[in-house]
Amino acid sequence: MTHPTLAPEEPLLKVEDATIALRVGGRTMVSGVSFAVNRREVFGVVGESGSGKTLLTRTLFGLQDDARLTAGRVTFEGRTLPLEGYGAAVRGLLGHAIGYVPQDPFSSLNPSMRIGKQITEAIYLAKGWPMGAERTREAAIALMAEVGIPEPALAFDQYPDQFSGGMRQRIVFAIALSQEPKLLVADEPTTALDAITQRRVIEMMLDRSRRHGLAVILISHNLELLRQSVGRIAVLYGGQLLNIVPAADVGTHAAHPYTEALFACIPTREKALADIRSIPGEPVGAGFGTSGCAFASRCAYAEPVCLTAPLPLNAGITSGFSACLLGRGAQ
Amino acid sequence: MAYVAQRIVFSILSLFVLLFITFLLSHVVAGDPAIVAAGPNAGAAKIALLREQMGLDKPLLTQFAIYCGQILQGDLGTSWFTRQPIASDVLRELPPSLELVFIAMLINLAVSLPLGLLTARYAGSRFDDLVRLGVMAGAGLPVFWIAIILQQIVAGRWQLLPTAGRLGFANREFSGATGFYLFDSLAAGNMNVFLDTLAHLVLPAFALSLLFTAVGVRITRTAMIGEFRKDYVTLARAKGASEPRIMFRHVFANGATPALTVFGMQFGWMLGATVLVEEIFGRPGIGRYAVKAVTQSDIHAVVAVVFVVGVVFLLANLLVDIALYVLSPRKQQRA
Repeated sequence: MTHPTLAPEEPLLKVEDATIALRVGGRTMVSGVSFAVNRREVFGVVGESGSGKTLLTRTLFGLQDDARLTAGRVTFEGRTLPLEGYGAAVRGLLGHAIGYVPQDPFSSLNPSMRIGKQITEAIYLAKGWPMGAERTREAAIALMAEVGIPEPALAFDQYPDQFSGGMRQRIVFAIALSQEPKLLVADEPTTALDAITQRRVIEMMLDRSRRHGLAVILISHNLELLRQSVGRIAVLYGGQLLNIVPAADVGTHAAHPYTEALFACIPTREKALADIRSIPGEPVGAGFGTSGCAFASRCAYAEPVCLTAPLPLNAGITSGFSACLLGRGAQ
Repeated sequence: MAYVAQRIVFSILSLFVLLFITFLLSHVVAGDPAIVAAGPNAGAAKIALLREQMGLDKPLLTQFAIYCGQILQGDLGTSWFTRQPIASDVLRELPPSLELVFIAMLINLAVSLPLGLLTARYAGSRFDDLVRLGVMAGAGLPVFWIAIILQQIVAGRWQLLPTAGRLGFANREFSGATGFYLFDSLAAGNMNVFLDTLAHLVLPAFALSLLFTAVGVRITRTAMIGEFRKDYVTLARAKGASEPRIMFRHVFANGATPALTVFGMQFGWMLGATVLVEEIFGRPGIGRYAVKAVTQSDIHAVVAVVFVVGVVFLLANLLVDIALYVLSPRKQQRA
């Protein structure tokens, strides 16, 4: 609202100090998360199960009924969304400006609706007016071909249970892409798929992002997958944003101790077996709050100050950020 | 098609089992029908003669075999009391009951489906609680009590609808080929009789449907509530689909299947439950006929009623199964 003309460097999505609480009981699950996603950027969000990454994104994009944004500021394309009635405001962007791909391709397609109908419905909802049956059909078939569905004209009239998981996830992508969003949010889109299919679906998504200038937020528990696929990675733990780091720096440059610990768990070609280390202790759930670092109890470097000091927040929304109270990983 | 054939064969088998069980039960439970039929002053010789005439001296299985053979020819036996063929009694008594059940079922569906869908969508809300309360009340009130209250207040005090019977006095001469007055009057182009028939059906149908509607709302809610948690609803929301669109275009078709199966059964249950309503509203029908037959130990009539209600029950379920089969694209493609 303070941007009459959008400067080219203005990020597509800016999230400032986002705090998310459950509707029932009002418990704060995610606190003080700030980050920005640029146009055409592929941005990763990593975290263990229960770190709050799905809750954060689903709430940010109006898809979580039982939680709400209680504090913070979300700006999309220079327009700040109101905190009051946030869900309705952000849902107004879904279906054209923002696309979303849910986790499980086996349940994210309507089992009783033909594939073609599900894509043409998306086209109709994005455009807001009917394009004509024949033209919509052609657009849908072209899109199915683009995401790699063999014999798309045949697939148009088929039902979801006639496709494998990988094919279904491609169809879900086709649905999201058919609306020509500026930002695509993919929540663990490949977790239910085998490794090779996973790779192919991600490649397809990245290819599409490159050719159409689509910004992507890719959410995953798999740091290695993100390291190979995205530009920057935001690391969530216990409902806190601990680190924002360029993917290329993970494993090569100093990062937040948690990011380093996560990377140390991953077997790679360069690593000896002795270098693969698990993180001691149990992961904490989301909702740790902002006093003290959620990772302190498991951190090899932890000092008493880590347990009590207020957690640094990414107030300036810098492109790289480390919340380490000891200054580790700061750039 | 194999599925439909399989369903039909299964229905016929169920019917046979049903027929056998009811036949056996009526023979075991009821008193000696020959004594009852002969009357209080008959001598032993008269009773023995009647027993022979009625085939009661033959072995049970033979009696059953004879009965099955007759049924295949459309002969439901002869009433020991009216001396009339039971088939013609049933043909006369069934249409008014079916008409009543049909209207009651329409009321049931018209209330259950939308209310079930809405309470599933807004589960846990105040609206949901309110409907739950209404459902409890609906399920808890006895049918006869509701029927009497409706009759006393709506028909008696407010004079909004007729108190009893199938048709008003002015239309008492009306008769039609099928016995379904709603259909017959339309076929004859007699709107006056059609509306009169409908007016006579409203209160009894409402009273009959209440309990079933209460169950229907809950069943529909249960069937739909799981659907709203599925990811395809999330995807539909992410596509920007409106809530009504999500409810009716996406969720309804997927959640309706288990609910429709129950509605199919309810049709049969309703037919078996018409008696109280028919008695209170002075309507002819299969329920009243059945009670009369039971009190008179008219075994063939009792078995015939159970058989006919069973046929309607199985037919309703068969139709629902076939409808679901036709509507479900997945089954169609696998076949």
